[in-house]
Amino acid sequence: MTLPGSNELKELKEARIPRRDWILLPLIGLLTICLLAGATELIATLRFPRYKGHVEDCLVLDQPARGARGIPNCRCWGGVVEGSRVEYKFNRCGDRSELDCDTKEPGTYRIVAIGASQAFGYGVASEETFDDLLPLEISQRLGRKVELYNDAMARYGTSHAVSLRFKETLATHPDLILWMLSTHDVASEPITADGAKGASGAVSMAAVSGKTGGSHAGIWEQIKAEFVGRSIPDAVRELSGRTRTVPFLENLLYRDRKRYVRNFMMGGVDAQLLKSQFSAESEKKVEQFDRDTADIEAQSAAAGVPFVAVLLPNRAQAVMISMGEWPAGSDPYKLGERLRSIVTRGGGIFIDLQPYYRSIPNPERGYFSVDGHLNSEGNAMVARMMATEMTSGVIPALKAAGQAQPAFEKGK
Amino acid sequence: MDSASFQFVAFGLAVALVSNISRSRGWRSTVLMIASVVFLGLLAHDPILFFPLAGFLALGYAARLLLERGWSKLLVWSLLAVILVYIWLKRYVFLPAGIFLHSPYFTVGLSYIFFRVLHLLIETGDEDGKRHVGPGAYLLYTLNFTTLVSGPIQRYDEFARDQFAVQPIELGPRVIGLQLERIIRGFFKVNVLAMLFNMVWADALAQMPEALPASAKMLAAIELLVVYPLFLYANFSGYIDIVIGLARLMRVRLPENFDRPFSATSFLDFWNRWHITLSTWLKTYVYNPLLLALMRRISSVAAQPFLGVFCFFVTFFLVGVWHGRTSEFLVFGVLLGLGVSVNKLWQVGMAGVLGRKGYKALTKNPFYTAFSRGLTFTWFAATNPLFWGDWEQLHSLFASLSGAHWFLVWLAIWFCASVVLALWEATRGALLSIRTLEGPVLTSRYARVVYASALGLAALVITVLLNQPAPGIVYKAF
Repeated sequence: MTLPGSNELKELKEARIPRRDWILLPLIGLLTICLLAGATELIATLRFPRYKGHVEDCLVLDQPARGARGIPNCRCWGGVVEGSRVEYKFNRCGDRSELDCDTKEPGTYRIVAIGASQAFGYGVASEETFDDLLPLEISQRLGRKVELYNDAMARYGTSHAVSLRFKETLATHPDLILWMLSTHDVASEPITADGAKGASGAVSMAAVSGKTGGSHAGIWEQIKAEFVGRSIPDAVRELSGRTRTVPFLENLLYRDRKRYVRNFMMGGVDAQLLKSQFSAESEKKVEQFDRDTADIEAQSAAAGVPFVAVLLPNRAQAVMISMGEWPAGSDPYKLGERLRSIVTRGGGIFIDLQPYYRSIPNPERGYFSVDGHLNSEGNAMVARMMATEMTSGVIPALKAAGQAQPAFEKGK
Repeated sequence: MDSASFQFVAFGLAVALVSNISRSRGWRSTVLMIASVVFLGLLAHDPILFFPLAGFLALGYAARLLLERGWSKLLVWSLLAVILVYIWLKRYVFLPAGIFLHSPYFTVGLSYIFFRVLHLLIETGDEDGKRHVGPGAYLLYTLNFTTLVSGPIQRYDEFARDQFAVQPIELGPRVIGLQLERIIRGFFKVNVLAMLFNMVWADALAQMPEALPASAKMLAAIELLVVYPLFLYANFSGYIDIVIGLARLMRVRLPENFDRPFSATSFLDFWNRWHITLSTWLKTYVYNPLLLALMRRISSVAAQPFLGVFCFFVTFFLVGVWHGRTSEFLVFGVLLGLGVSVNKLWQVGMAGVLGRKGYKALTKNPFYTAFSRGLTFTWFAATNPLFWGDWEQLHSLFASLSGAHWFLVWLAIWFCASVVLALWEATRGALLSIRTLEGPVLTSRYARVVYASALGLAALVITVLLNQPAPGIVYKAF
């Protein structure tokens, strides 16, 4: 709106500004900032409404020795920032499943899914999760009844947590154990006995679940709690992350797939596992995963139940594979290769879905753009891929006649 | 640091602060020199990388010294030497690859240094222009960190006038406020506007090879062509806003590089408003001497307007060629040259048909103005794919629609640009007509504080809270 430099001479002549402006101008600036921030937050809240409730309302989180678990027969509501409100219903064993944990119908092939939030169907209505869609797909292809019991646990299902719960998993009468893995399951820290995250975890469980600061604490105490143990930019980011403005803007920005990948790779523990060279910390996490997997596979073998692990690529991995290019120093395939060697060494079967993503032009549509979990489209997509892989002959009991070779056997 | 990042702005503001500790020219020059060296050091850490650039600067200075000492006949040879070394260092693809240096070296800002060195040589070769430029002043002028990465291309006399003034120009609260507002505006343009335009452009580009209905592809093609000039403008002019603001805080006035280019009603007018310092440089050192030389040889009065047409073509062909090292930029230069020369021919032809007064009256007609503005934008937008794409990309882009569809796309852009830009001009005029005794309300300091706060907040949220990296400045690559 200005002619560049045109008013400079005029301004030079007017050397002084009125005294009142020294107060008025900063006030106008402050008011503008407050109004703009408030208005943006209002618009963002209208676009992404806040829901009452949270999946944590149905979880028991204070028994780290047993791992996180669901409250039997609990119903709660929650959802991801950019998704709709979702109901989480837990059965009498505290699992998000319509099926009974103790009994199964004769002649039915039962797959028991374990894992974390992706396997749990976080942010997606139960009937839209691959836990519901996959058995339908497989049943159609085989002409026999296959059911899937969802024994995954939202948020706190790292490999260690899965191993802690595994005895109960085996009690659900599985014909097959299906571990739906994501990068985050390997990257996240196990929950320790004091209710905090592991070695580097300055973040408390309460902070993780978004409940930092007791209701009786003063504002100053809350602010102090936010800033202790982390840098000011990190604390500001954490605080601003609780607004609706930031996810609203992220949702807008992350439509650009390259920008999303670049930003994703700039930080976060998950990004470390997509590097072409693992850091010492990442190696430690993979080793922890290795130990937990060995334990799970041993229990599974002892029970005579086949064990299958699947790596679900996260949004950044899916985009990189789809584009066929990634930032220097990254490798979307490397983690899959490591996990394959770990799983197969213990006698398990590893299914790699990543090659499928090479022929999907816009796989990012299958994910919530800010939250990163699979949305309903992504769940349906994964269910189809999984059904193809699982009925290809990799699992003899589920072999369908006349199936094509699975993608992972064709190589990368 | 070679982008419009938060760090770059903070660095510039810190230098401006230190520079203003004393008004003495010695102090200000020392601060600028140290800042420029530190800036270079932040861009590349290994001193060996700077050897070719140092050699180029030494060549320019040696040539300048010879010319200063009366070796005027060497002007042409020294210009040729500087141009050839520049082409060699920039690795123009028409040269055999074997002659290039194979180790990596620093070339950021070389194109802009090139113009400054040529300007100094030409001015020294000119009999009236002899004046001693010491090595310190020479380095200060060529390596000034505010103009190093992407210009603007400042004349030495303008630089020296402010930098070496015994009484430097005033810097009161009002000027400081204006510059801070300009820096924030520039930061917003680069980090928010340009980034958003780039996203739309990337989306549209990704849609072109997809199997979509022709109407959807045409829409994507319109987006692709329309958004890139807007992106380029926000990216480049935003950076220029920042450096002009920073330099002014150091009491140096840099020349303007943009003057609302999309308001231009002809392609000739466009180049008076877009990358002004580049087109002015080439008009001064290519167009004017070439026209004079031709007029001396061809005395026919009837031919004179056509000599201007030819000189415009040559000048703007060079503008295009300067932008890159590959054959795409040769064609880009031809299209720019065609744009201005056909525009000049049209002016000459219409003045012949309608008479000067008649043609002047026509250019005042609002419909003629609106469609001329739209056509100017459309031509510039249509040349831009050569600016960002290689032949393979261009082939796949143009193969994605039929010739007839591209023609419709072109017409649609022309029509829409005419309407939208006319509406924009009308709105702007109406808003600026709301005035108080001090001037338009929208340019008052109160209004400036409002939009500087708003733009600053938006830019801060995008860059800091969302951890968005500052986008690269497109023109630093040239």
